[in-house]
Amino acid sequence: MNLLTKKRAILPGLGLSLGLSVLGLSLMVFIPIVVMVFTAFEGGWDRFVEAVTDRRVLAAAWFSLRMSFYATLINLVFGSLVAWVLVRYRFPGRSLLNALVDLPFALPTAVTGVTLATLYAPTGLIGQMFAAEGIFGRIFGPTMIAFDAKGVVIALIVVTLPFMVRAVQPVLETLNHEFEEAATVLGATRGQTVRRVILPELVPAMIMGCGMMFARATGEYGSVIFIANNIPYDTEILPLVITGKLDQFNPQAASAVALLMLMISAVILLAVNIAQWHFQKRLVEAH
Amino acid sequence: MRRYLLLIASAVLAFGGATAVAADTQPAELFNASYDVTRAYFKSYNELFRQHYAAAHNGRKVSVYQSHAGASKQAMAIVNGLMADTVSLNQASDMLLLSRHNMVSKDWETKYPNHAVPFTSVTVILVRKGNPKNIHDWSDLLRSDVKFVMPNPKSSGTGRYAFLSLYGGIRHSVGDDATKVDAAMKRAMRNVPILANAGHGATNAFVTSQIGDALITLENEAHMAAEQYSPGQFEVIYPDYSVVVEGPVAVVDAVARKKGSEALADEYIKYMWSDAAQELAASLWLRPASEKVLARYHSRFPDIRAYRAVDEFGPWNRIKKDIFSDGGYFDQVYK
Repeated sequence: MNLLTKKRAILPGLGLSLGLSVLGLSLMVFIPIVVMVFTAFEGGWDRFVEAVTDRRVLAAAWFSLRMSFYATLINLVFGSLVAWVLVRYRFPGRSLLNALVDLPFALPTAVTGVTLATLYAPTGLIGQMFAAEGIFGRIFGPTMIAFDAKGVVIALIVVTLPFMVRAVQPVLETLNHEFEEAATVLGATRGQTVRRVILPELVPAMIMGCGMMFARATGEYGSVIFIANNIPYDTEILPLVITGKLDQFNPQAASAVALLMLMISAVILLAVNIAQWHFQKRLVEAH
Repeated sequence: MRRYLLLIASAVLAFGGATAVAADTQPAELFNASYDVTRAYFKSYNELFRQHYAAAHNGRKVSVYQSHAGASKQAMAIVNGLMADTVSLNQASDMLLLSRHNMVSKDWETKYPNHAVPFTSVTVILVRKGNPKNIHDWSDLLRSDVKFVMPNPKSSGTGRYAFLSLYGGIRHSVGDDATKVDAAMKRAMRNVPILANAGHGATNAFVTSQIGDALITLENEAHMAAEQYSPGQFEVIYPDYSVVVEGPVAVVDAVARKKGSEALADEYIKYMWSDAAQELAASLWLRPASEKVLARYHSRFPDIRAYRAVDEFGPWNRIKKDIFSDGGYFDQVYK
């Protein structure tokens, strides 16, 4: 290990490439964040606290967190399933399906939002099944999907799905069949094999996928805004509150709320890293 | 090395000479920033202006570039460096922001006729065909069997006008008792299933997705929906008492001076008061400022008791602060 890093250090071009990396990161990530923090605290600590403890901001933060949590939970199952199908089975159209997974990354989020809103609106192809006259509407009673909290969850599921699939897929690919075979030979049932052999290997990747999905979901604006109904204190997402403050020409309050969002994401990513490190350690010890 | 320098120098000279010669035959360029629901108007107006400009300047061509977004976003973008030569907004308050930052001159309101407002609109209610819920005035939107859609006042100028019209209308019918007005406003806003992000988004939710029984929007947008997007499916209801929507226009002096496009920008704005441009506005259900053109299209624009927002609610900076800022009246209605 030590030998490897030493070898790297004597590779030529460290100064230039590191310098460029630091410059790029500073210009595009670090400096904007510093400016945002400064703007958030323009007018002192009190103004910042006032902005982030506003009931409407807190309601929006709570709503964003809840919806992101639901979307993450659903994708934890669904995304892992997609990854499993893509790695373990060979079927016609597999590479097409594999490419489709990345589509939410490639599509402008506004397009995703408008498309979903149209599909899931009471007049839309899927939405009408849940309207008063539709099949599901008749059985379960009419329900709105677009322009409701449910729509927000659906938009978040779509835009965050690739994170989960792409986090789990490579780990699944490197997972050796021999372990499973050995487990079977030693008398494990299929369920035991999944629980005891496959899942432990996947958990770190799953945690990472969930963390990235959750962080992305709390900040998602473009797709959600078209499918949500944006009622204050009820179904308003936090990014909408930020743009609302900008529209009132109040960059200080907008930055303060943005900082709150950044802190939420930072806490999540930190928790994910700790959890991942913890599981990785257990995994290494088990090996 | 010397040879290279010479080559570069001659290339630069040649290029410079070429551009100097070409300057007059190259199309003049103009960038206009406007708000969300004026796309149809400016698309046709730019064509009209191109023809007018060519006729007035020996066939000189002009390319007009357009940008549309929420009015407040556009004003903010210009302050932050969007190089727009001219601007068309739907609220005086956004223009005030520009003049405060010295982007437009302080006397913008007197530079062009009619307070620099080439056409106006009013706030109306769009309902479904046959008006099944029997909606005729703002007070009908309080009924518990009515659901209505409007744009979000926090993010949309049309939304602010919609809210002001509703507020003014309810104040007008309920009377001066503030507690009664507040209770009525709370009741009304409970009937709103969607606060759409922008003016056109609200129209989409109501027209395409069939959400709600009514839509509060501007007269021109309502007629576009009723007569063009889905003819015969909707009816425009004129409430008795409604806010006039005034969209001021101006040359962004700070930008035009830098680009040297002052004369062109001034011509672009001025031409909006020409008969041709005024007729174009009327054909798109925007109430023309010209009395003459308005009289000709009178049947399109029913008389309603329309009032200026500043007369009912005070100056725009107070409207924004008291009603739409954080913790303002709009937020209190939702508390």
